[in-house]
Amino acid sequence: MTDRELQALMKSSLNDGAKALYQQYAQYVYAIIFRILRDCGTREDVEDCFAETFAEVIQRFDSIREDHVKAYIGQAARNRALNYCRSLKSSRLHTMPLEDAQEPAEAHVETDTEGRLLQTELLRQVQALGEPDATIIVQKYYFNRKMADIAEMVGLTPHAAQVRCSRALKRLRTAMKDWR
Amino acid sequence: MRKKDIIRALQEIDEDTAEKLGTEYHGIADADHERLLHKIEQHLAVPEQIVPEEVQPAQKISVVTRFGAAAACAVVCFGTLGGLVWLRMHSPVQEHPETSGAPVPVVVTDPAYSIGERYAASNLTAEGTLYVKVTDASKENGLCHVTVLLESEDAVSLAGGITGDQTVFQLDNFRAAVETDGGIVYVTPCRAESTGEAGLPNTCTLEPGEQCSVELWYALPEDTQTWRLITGSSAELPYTEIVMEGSP
Repeated sequence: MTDRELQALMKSSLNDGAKALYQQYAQYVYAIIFRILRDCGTREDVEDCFAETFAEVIQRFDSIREDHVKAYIGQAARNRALNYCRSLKSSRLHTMPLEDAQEPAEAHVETDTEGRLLQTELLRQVQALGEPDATIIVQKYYFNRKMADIAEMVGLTPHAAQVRCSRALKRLRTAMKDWR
Repeated sequence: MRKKDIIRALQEIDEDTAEKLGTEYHGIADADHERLLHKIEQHLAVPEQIVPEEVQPAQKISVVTRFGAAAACAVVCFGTLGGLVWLRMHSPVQEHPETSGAPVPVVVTDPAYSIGERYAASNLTAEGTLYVKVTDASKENGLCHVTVLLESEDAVSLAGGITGDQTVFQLDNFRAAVETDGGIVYVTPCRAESTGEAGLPNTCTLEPGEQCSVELWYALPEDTQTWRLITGSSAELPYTEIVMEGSP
């Protein structure tokens, strides 16, 4: 569904429009927020920030330009997550020494060309693992999910999922052996 | 690559890669949707009945003009996504009794402006005139929330800053100081651009006749009764003075 179609649907039926908006952008918004809050908040913080962002976007949808929906939602998610992170850090600073407070993920991101190439290749190799191994690796090491939850997602026993995870990681090591 | 390097690389991916991972490998698991939808519903829902004793009232603020009396809340039914019914879209918000009735005059000193007055901001745009109007302000739990409407009849690019009293709030290029418990809640609907470094928009571009609403929040000392929102980087520039009702 294009953004223009989404705008039209929102105008004709808010329920259907909001449903389509969620289906189309939920994973995108979650990914942006998770990346920013993963180092400074809990999963619950991510979910709260996600819900606030979505609710606000739905309430303000009329004011979004129809060709800017994705950019607008992405920026809204980014802004809210950074504010959330700052707020979490601020409240934490009252109870922890400054040097213990982590910077948001933004500060750790590789921005150089080599880093981007590495990430592109890594993503390619993860995709090359095939399913369910790719999902297991991403859910385990990026989304930090428990193996029991991952096993349920991919329809395996926790033990089987753990074994597949170890083997997939070995395959990734082999595939990425020329990278440092 | 060592195993730990692969894991670290996975955890330090850039935003584009994160979006791909989130979309392809479902950051939101199927089991999470219902809970997330319920949380969205909670944010959209308006309480049917507010028991006065259970609500900590916000401090009264002098308000000349209220913004958006017809602001809407949403009713969304996600049907197959969980059967959740979201409540009361487009039901008009009742005007708060504390702000209804005759406007309460705000004590101002030239060149200050009161809430609801539109005035031209100085030095915030290279070309064209940017008009600023503080449309709402409230103080709750030590945090001040201010809504600012920016509008222009020219094409303008706002790259300057909006600041509060320098002792309590500093917002440079729409970027909250890290040490300050404050930030921009939303910028809408303007074309905002950011370096990405701090996440908040560094510039906000308005087309002729376009408006955007900016919501700021920041900490105020408990005993603050009067504060100023300055449109620019100097106390000499126009500002809106916000005065708590009942202040001397």
